[in-house]
Formats: sequence, structure tokens, C-alpha cells
Amino acid sequence: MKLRTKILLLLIPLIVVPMLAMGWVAYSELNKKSEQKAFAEMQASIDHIAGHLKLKVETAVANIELFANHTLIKKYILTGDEEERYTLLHGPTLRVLHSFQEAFPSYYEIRILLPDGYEDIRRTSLPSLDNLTEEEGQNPLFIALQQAGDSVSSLISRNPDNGKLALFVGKSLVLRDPAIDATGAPPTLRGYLALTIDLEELVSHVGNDVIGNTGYMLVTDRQGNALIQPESVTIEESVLRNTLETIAARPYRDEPVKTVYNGQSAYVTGIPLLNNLHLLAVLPEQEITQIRNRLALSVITIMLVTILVAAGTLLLVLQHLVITPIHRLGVLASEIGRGNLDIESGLNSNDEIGKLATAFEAMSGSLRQSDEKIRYVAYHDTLTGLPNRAMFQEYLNHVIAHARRIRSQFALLFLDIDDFKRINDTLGHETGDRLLQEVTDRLSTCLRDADYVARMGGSDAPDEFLARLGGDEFIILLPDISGQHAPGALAHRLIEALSRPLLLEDHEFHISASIGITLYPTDGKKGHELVKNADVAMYHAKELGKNNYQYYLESMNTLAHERLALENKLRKALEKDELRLYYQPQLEASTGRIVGVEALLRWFDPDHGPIPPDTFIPIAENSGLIIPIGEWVIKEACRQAKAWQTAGVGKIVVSVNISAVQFARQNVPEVIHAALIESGLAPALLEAEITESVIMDQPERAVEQLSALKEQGISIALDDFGTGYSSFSYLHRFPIDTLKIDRSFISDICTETQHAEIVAAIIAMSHILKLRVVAEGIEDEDQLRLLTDKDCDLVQGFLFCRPLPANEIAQLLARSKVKTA
Amino acid sequence: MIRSTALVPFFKSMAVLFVFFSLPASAADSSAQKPRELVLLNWSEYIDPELVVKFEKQFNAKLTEVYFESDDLRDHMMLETDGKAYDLALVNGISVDVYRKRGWLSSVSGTQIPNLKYIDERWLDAFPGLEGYAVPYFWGTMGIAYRKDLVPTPVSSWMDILQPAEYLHGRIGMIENSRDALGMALKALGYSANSTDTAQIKAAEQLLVAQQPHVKTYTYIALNEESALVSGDIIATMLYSGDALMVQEHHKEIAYVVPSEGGNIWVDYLVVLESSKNKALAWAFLNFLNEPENAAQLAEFVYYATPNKGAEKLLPAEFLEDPVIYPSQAVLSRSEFYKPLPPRVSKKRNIAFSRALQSMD
Repeated sequence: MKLRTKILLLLIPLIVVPMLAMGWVAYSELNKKSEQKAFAEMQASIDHIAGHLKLKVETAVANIELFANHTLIKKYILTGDEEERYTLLHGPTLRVLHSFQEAFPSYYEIRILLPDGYEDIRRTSLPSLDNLTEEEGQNPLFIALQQAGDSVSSLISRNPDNGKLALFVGKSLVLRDPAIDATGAPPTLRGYLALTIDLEELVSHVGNDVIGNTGYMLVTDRQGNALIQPESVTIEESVLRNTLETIAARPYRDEPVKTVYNGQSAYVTGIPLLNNLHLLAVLPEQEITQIRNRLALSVITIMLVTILVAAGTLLLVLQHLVITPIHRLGVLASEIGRGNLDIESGLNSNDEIGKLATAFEAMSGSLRQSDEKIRYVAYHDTLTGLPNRAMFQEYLNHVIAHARRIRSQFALLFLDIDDFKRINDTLGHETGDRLLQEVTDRLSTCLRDADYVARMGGSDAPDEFLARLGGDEFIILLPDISGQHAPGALAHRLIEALSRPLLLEDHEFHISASIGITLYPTDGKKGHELVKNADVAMYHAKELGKNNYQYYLESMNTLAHERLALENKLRKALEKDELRLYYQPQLEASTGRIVGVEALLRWFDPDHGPIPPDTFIPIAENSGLIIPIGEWVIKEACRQAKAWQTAGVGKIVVSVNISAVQFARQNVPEVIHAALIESGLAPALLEAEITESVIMDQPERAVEQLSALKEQGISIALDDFGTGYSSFSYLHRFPIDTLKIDRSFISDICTETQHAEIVAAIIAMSHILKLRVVAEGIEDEDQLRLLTDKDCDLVQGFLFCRPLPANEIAQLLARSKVKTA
Repeated sequence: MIRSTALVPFFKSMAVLFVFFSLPASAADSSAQKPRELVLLNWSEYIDPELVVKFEKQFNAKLTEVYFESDDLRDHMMLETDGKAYDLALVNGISVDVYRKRGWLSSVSGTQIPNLKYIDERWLDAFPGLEGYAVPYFWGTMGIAYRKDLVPTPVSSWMDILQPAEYLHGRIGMIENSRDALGMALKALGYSANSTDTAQIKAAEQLLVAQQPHVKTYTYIALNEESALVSGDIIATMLYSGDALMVQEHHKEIAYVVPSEGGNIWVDYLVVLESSKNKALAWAFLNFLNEPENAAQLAEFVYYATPNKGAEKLLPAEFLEDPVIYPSQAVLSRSEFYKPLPPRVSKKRNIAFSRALQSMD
């Protein structure tokens, strides 16, 4: 789920719930307040009007007292003679009444009435107001006046003259006539002063003023007759009466009562006016409801808007502050993932996001650095700093493409350090590594010089490229070959450079290299072809004695293929029982007696027939197949020897060739020991033939193993003596019994005096060292004679017998035995 | 007779003060004593100041006048003070009886005032209740004074001011007296000024009510050079005959006419108030006024017809022939004296007139 959605889902309740709560609270409070306000306004309206009226009444009452005290009023009413009153006092008194009315225009009628109700003097400020009658004696207003006694009466009623509501205020004029009456005489009622006060304002307010928007007021008497009401309203008397009772009975004065008028539910409150009149204010419930609804709507709207705005703003802000940056960072991460390490986040805010972005950029930077490092490591050899195989291959492809395009040539030089393994095993890997580094230096230097030379020649081809393919293998790509000889010349220079002694750990080392050279496009069009063929060429160089360089020849490839095929065959040869042990007798030189046999491995390939040992033994050794094969040889030889012994051939020592490889990689003493035990052969009847390289490569180990063999009672012969580097001093250290002179010495012993003397020397020295000497490869009598002369102990060769299968040896041994006997 | 003055209230209080602080004095005493005081309630400019000075010198007296602007207002002042604030009062004929009934008047006789022998007898009973209580002062008519030069046609009817033409709107003066205003309205309608008929009274009231918007003032105009008639603020006004002649002195284009329907013939009397403490001096004053030379001087001052036969002999022919002062028989026959009215009718008329004054100020 997207972050935005999550936030929204979280935000919404967080905002909505409090908003709702607030809204609800606000609504209830506002609602209550507004209702209270409406009711308060209702009450205020009627209070106001009632107050106004009260004030009017009070003022009128005060005024009437004043008016009644006016000299002229008093004189007027005290003047009993009608004529006098009317002729003399009437005018002036009218003028006085006029002045009252000017001061109080609402007192539109002022009258002085006689005790019987006759209107003696009447002034109206409304000229059109005709007097209905002058005889007011029966008028209920007059009756009320009479009944009021001494106090001022005030009541509201309809003025019969105009049918309108008026406030009637009246006062009885109870006076003493100072001119006539005796001092102590009580005052008598002379008449009444009556004010008729206009209530148009009240009527208009009550009739027209609106309570709220749809409310109204009305004035009703105790019986429920509405004296003033709006035109549109008519309410039954009984209903109004009821309302009055309810209002009177309510506990709180400012709480309206609820009632139904003309089918409409309404709130009503009231206040008493003058003389049992009541002023009611009616507010239809609908209005309150409307207010409530409007309020609810407002609250809801505000809430909604607030929620939307708040949520929207929050979302926008979060989007801006968080989501967008995060997304951007995600994009950046993808970019980084895609390998685009050169990124800029564009997020510069001074907060955690900004820091994250900075971290991202830093990460990308360090990734780039790591990447570069890895790239470097991926393409360079750590030890030497040279480009490695991977880089070389890429480069090679690039050069091939370039060469193809411009139809140019280039050369590959495949360089292998001879016997590097020996050095590595003997001196340790550390030394070996240092050796490699030294080699690298020399090669590089050589190349630079070459390059310098090349540059001097004015060529502008790409540089030579030196790479370490692994182990002790190097490869050089030579882009510029002016003539086919240039690679050779370089190879020569390289070999020379490496032939100089190396000084490592105070040891002097002599190393050599074998170099194979291939040319593009002659020796291959594809990279792997060129390399393989260079390898083949290099291998060939090794076969030719190492420390040289060879150009690739196609036949070498074939050779290599054949070799590989053979190897595969050989792998299976042991299983398939294609291997045979042949035996070549070894004779005592002096007696001619067969004293032993050398076991020789033969391979009979069903397809190709017998395969020469010179061919397949190296293959076996190179491939490591020599181990199982060698083991088999030992076992078979022991078995065969034992079989002969059982057959009663006499003391015949079987000599078994053991490869240096076997010594290096196997516990040869153990193998032999196991074979002896298995076969039951006496150890003295077994001889191990080893080559010099066994001793040379790892002298200490060799001593160990040989000693172990000796302890088992086996004799040891050193094969191909003279062909290696070994010196006699070495031999002294090793438990050797026999020395076998290599056939190369023997072959021209008759022709080459030097060789004859060497052989004689060897024999002599060996005898001094208590060693037996065996001469191999004797082919004619002359050689035999010579060797015998020199005291050679044993002889072996075609002259006597070629290697024979086991059964034929058995026959031979039988015949020989017969012969000797 | 009416004079307009705003000083009435002031003088009223002055009068009251005088009354309280005047020392009683015998009429015969003179030089050694403080001057005796008399207060006369009168119209303004209704007595020659020179005569007053002469009287004061002769009798070592001090005469103070308190003015009223209309008969109604005088009645009001009398009522207010209950007739006790003054020594002498100028009362129109029709009101004397009521005053007498009220007990405000003290009797006058030939014994006290010997010069009464000069008075023409017909004035002594022109109105009921006069005899023995009032001394005739002057008589005249009430008509319309107007500016000849400011009207296209001469004013000749009451309707000219009661239903005024456009050019008289707001330039009319009326008298604030129900007898005069209502009476003349009745006469304008062809009725008697003393009509008791309700319908007629109603009609007259309506006439007055309709006229009211066009009336500039109900206050009696001044009669000096500052008079509204002189300035032209008022073009036509109800005015007493002599007052018209008086104001004519200041502008010769002022004319006086008793309208065709007739006017009112009034008679003014001087009375001695019962409450006076200087009755002897009052009598002496009344006697002084009726010396023929004094009466003649007085008549020439006020431009009114004197009831004093002795004075008449001394007056110039020019005066005696002035039709304004001495109207023709025709005029006299058209005009009416005010008669007493039944109380209820008075009441009605009062109410009617009061309505006319309604929206005045």
C-alpha cells in the first residue's frame, strides 16, 4: 500500500474524530446558546415594550397630578356656574389643555368630566376626532374612574370615539373651594381630569414587530381576547386563556412554555401589562428548528472544510516533505541498483530527509569507489598489479575488432616460467610471489624499452599489453609488429631479461621462461583461438627444452589435440586393462646372468595399437594419471615378481620406475609397503627406479621417502643418470643403491671418447660410493666389451633382450636358469 | 384692542411686584408722600403717555401698565391672578358682565367720577351688566388693514383673508380671539357673528381650519415703524380701526376696510377692580381721563371714537369725519355688536376656534 494511502488512512481518523467531537461540542453549545438567545430576545422584546408602557403610564400618572394642580384647571372645575365656566374660563382652560398637548402630543384627548360623567371640557389634538358623546356616565371607563377613588386610575381600552386602543388615565378632582368653603370643610369631588393617550406606538410594535424572523406578539386580556395581534394571526380565546394559565404557573420567568397555536408548535412567553392585560411573545418552534438546522449545517460545513483543508494541507505537506523525497530516494536507489552511480538527489532540506539524501549520495560515492576498486581488482592481478585474464580478454577482443577493421596484424606472446612450481614448493609461496613480482618488473621494463624503441621508430599503434593470466603464466599482446620477427625479437629479449639471476632472500635464483607466439590473423581469428594456440606454442617450447620461444605451428595444434585424446584414452586404459607391464632383463656384465628385470609400462590401445611410452608417460605425468597407473604398476610388478618366485625362478630383483610426480604427490613408501604386503613379495626383490628430478625438486622429502623405502628393505636405483643437474655430493646424501647411466651416454660410447671417459668416471665414482652401476641401452658387443672393461656391474639393452611380456620372461628365466645351471 | 408685545409676562411679574410693594395712599395726599401706584391692565399703545405723565404729576401718582394681546389673554391673566393683580383693567364690553359675576369689579358711579356726565348714555347699556361697573373708553370697528400697493385689487371681503389668493399666502394676520375669528368667519359665510347654530359654527370652524396654513401669525401686529404691515411681511390682517390709522402713520399705503359682510363694533370700558387698594386714585384717574381736553387728546392719540361728548366738541372736523374712526351708517348697519351666548354654545365655539389654532406652532 502506498505511503500516501497509509498516511491518509491514519490521518483521516486522527483528524476526523477530534473534529467530529469538537463539532458536536460546538454544535450543542452553540445550539443551546442560540436557543437561549432566542428566548432571551423574546423576553427582552416584551420586557422592552412592557417597560415602555409602564414608563408611559407612570409619566402620565405623574403628569395628570401636575395637570390637576394647575390653577386654571382647578379654577375651572371649581366654577360652578356653567355660563361663567364656558364664557370666561373655557377658552383659557382650553389653551392650557393645548399647552399640555403640545408638551405631550400623545395625550390626544384631555377632558374634564363632571361627577355625573358629562364631558365639560374636551380638547383633542386630532381635529377629525368627533366626540361620540358627551355623556360618558355609562362608559365603563368612567365607571372605573369613579371606582378608583382618590388614586389615579389607568387602564387600556378602546376609545369609543375612534375605536382605537388608548391608555386612559384619570384622576378625581377633589377640591376645596377656598373662596367659598369654610376652612375646616372637607374637599368634595368636583369632577375628573381624564387623559386619553395614544397607544399607536404600542399597537404598531405589538402588531408589526417580529420576534426573530417569524415570531410575533399579541396583547390579550384575561379572557383570552386578543386586543392587539398581527393580521395573520387568530388564536382561539380558550387557547390563549390556557396559555396565560400555563405561563403564570411556570417556575422560571424566562423560560417560555411550549404550546400549539393553529397547528403550529410554538414557544410562548408573556408579561402582564396594565389592568389584567398580558403581552405575549410567540416564537414558532420551526424558527428554533431552522436555527438549529442552520447551525448544524454551518458546523458540519466548517468541520468538513476544516477536515478537508487540514487533511489536504497535511497530505500536501507530507507529500512535499516526506513522500516525494522518499520516492526520489527510491528512484535514486534504483538508479544506483542499475549501476548509475553518478547521482544527485536534489534534496537539500536541512532535516532527516536531507541527511538521508546526503547519505545516499555518499553511499553512491563510496559504491562508485568500491565499484572502481572492484573493477580494478576484477581486472587486475593483485600480486603483480598487472591486468588479469578478464581484462586481457576484453582488451584482446577490442584489439581484434580494431585489427579486423583496419586489417592489421598483432601478436600474442604466451609466457610461462619454467619450473616455477618447483621454486614455489621448495621456497614457499611468499618467495614465489616475490619472484613473480620480480618477473613482472623485468617483463614490464623490457616492454617499456621495447615500446620506447618502437616509438622511436615512429609508430603510433596502441601500447603493448602485459597481463598475468594466472599462476606463472603471462601473456603479452603486441599490437605493432613490423615484420614477423618483431615478436620473436621481443620474446628473445624477454627470455634474456629473465635469465639474469634473481636475488630473493639472499638466495640466487635462475629461472627461465618458455614463450609461445601466435599472430593474428594467421594463427587464429578469435581471441580464444589465439590464446590456445599461443599456449600450444608455449608448450611446444617447453617440450623443446624450455628457455626458448616458439612460433605456433598448426601441426602443434594437432599434436596438442592428439595428446589430449591420448590422455583421455589413457584415463580409461587402466580400467580397460590396456596397460601391460613388460620386463627387460638386467644382466650381470661379468657373468651374463639375469639378475633382475626392469618393469616397463606398455599400452596397447585397441584403436591405435601399442603407444610408445615416451608418448604416453609424459601425458600421464602431466595429467596426474601417473598416480593410479604408477600404483598399478607397483602392485602388478610385485604380484608378478611374487608369482615368479613361486614358480622358482630364483633371485630376480624387479625394478619399478617410480615417477617424480608419484613421489611428489603420493606417499610412495606406503604404496609400496601395501603392495608388498598384498603380494607377499620380499622387499629385497624389489627395486625402485627414480629419476634425478625426484632428488632435485624436493631434496628433503626425497631423503625421507627414500629412507623410508630403504628401511623397508627395498633397493633404490637412480635412473637416467647424467642427464640432470645432480652432483655427486647430492648423491651422497641420498640412500641410493644403484646408478643407471642414461642411454644417451651409452649410445656413442664407442665413438665418442669423451663419453666413454665420462662413463668410466661415473662407474669409478659410483664404486667408490659403493653404488652399483647399470648401463642402459646397450645395443652391440663393442659397447658391452667396453663397459665390461670399465667394470660396469649390470647391463641392459636390446643386445641382450628386448622388453618382454611376463610370460615370456618366465620362459626366459627358466631357460636361463637352465643355462646357468 | 390688541397690541402685540412680548413683554407681557415680564410686566405681569412687575405688576405683581408692584402690587405687593405699593403702599396704600390716600388720593388727596401729594408732595410729602411717596407716589401712590396704580396698575392698569391694558392694550399697548392705548393711552397717551403724555397724559399719563400729566396725571402722575398732578396726582403724585405712578401709573404702571400691564399689557395683554387679546381679550382672551386678558381673561387668562385675570383668571390667573384672580383679578387681584391690578387696580384698573381695560375690558371689552361683552366680558364686563362675566367679570362682574366673578366678583372682580368694584362699582363706579357719578359720585366717584363726576366727569361721567360727559359720557354718551347709549354706551352705558350697550352690553348687559355694564351699569355702575364700567366706564366707556372708546368704541370702534374691527376689519381688515392691508397694503394697497401689495394687492392687485383692494381687499373688500372677509373671504379675501379667509380664503386668500396665492399672493396672500403666508402674509395674513389674524386675531387670537374666538369671538373675533369665529365671528368674522361666520359673517364671511353670511351668518351672524353671534350664531348659535351648530352647523354654522362648524362651517366657520372649517373655514378657519382651512385658512390656518396661510396665516402668518395670530399674534396682534405691532403698530410702530417696525410693524409687519410696514415692512410688508404681512399684507392683510384683522385689525381694529384705530390701530389701522396708527400704523398708517408709518406707511401711507396702508388702508383699512370694514369688509362688505360687515365687521364687529366693539366698545372698550375701563373698570376698577375690587381688589384694588387705591380705588380713590383709580376713580381720580378715570375722572381725569374724562376731562374733555384729556379725552380729546386721548382720542387723537388712539384714533378712536370717543364716547365723551365733551371731547367731541373739541375734536377737529377732520377727525370727526374720518370714516375709519366714525364709520358710515351703512357700515354700522352691516356690523354687529357681540352678544352674550349660551354657555354650551360658547363651549362649542371655543372648541371650534381651538381646533383652528391646532397645528399653528
